[in-house]
Amino acid sequence: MENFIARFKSFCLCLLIFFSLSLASQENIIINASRSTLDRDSNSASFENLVIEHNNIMISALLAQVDSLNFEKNIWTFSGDFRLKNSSFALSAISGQVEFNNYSITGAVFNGSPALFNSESTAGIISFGRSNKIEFNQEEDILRFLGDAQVNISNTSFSGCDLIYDIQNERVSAGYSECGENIQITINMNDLE
Amino acid sequence: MHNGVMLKEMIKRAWANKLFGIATTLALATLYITFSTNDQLERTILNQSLTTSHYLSKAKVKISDETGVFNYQISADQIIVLPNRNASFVNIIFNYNNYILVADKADLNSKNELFTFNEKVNLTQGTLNAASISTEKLLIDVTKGVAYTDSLTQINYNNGYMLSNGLSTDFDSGQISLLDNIYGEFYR
Repeated sequence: MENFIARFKSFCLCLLIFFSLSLASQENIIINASRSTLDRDSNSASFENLVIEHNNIMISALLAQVDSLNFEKNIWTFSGDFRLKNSSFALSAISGQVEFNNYSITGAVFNGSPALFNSESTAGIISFGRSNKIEFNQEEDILRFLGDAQVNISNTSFSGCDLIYDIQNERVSAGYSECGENIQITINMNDLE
Repeated sequence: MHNGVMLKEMIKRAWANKLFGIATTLALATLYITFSTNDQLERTILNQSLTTSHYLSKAKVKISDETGVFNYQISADQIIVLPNRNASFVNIIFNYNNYILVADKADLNSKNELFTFNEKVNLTQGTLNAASISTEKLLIDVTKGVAYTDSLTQINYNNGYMLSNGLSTDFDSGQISLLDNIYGEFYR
């Protein structure tokens, strides 16, 4: 019996170490690139074929520039096949920016003609959207589509100049900019049948 | 017979005097080399025309350009200087324009242009707290003020590190290029 308890304790300890290491590596910001130039004076850096992984978020681009490698606060500028992907959605554009605060991604901006969004929920609902600019707010878990925006959730299509998409609740609402366009909602009845 | 003995004795004395002269010359030469080694080393590195060889321990050397301006300084546990060949250094500390490089071994080519630092090479910049560079081999061309390597290189930050297969850096501009297969990890 004592032998069994000792073995069980060892097993629990190993499990604890394994999960601690897993959590630690998840929190770390991992960078892969083919080439980089660092400026020792300003601490800025540029990268080619960059992939950043952090907390299940993956960011990639052909070119990237960062004002500082201090992730307490830094801003990345990306160009060429700029993509951000996490477990619930994916964004892509020709260029954009990502902001880190306190070693976490707080927001991202996707610029393009168009910038694209797509996702598939656990319930199998497919959503996709496009606009001239997409802003991702990580803290509020929302996407804001600006300029010639269109968001499709299942059989319903929303279009306008400023749309806000609540990622968690899969809801679309009007943005607060005064662009002078009403939201148009189109429901595809064929899909309902 | 008597004359023959006298002649032999005279030849013997003459040889003895010659040997004494040779021995005295050798002793003076040894003294000269012993007391002037540091000076000669500096000149050996600056001017390849010297033909003597040197082996020094705990040496400090300042190396200047043609105008006499000191470019860099070297401290080492051992320095071996061979005429018209590479100079070798053991446990070298290399100071260049605010950069400090420490390495287990180094070689300087016969033209005094290219340093090759080997094993546990660590490069830091005195004025910055940002990054230090660790690698196993680093070449510095002192005439161009550039350093480069194709060995595995690690850039150390206070919040993480980056690895790459090779690096080149320009000491004047302060730019570092990581050349291939870059992997970085940053943490809180």
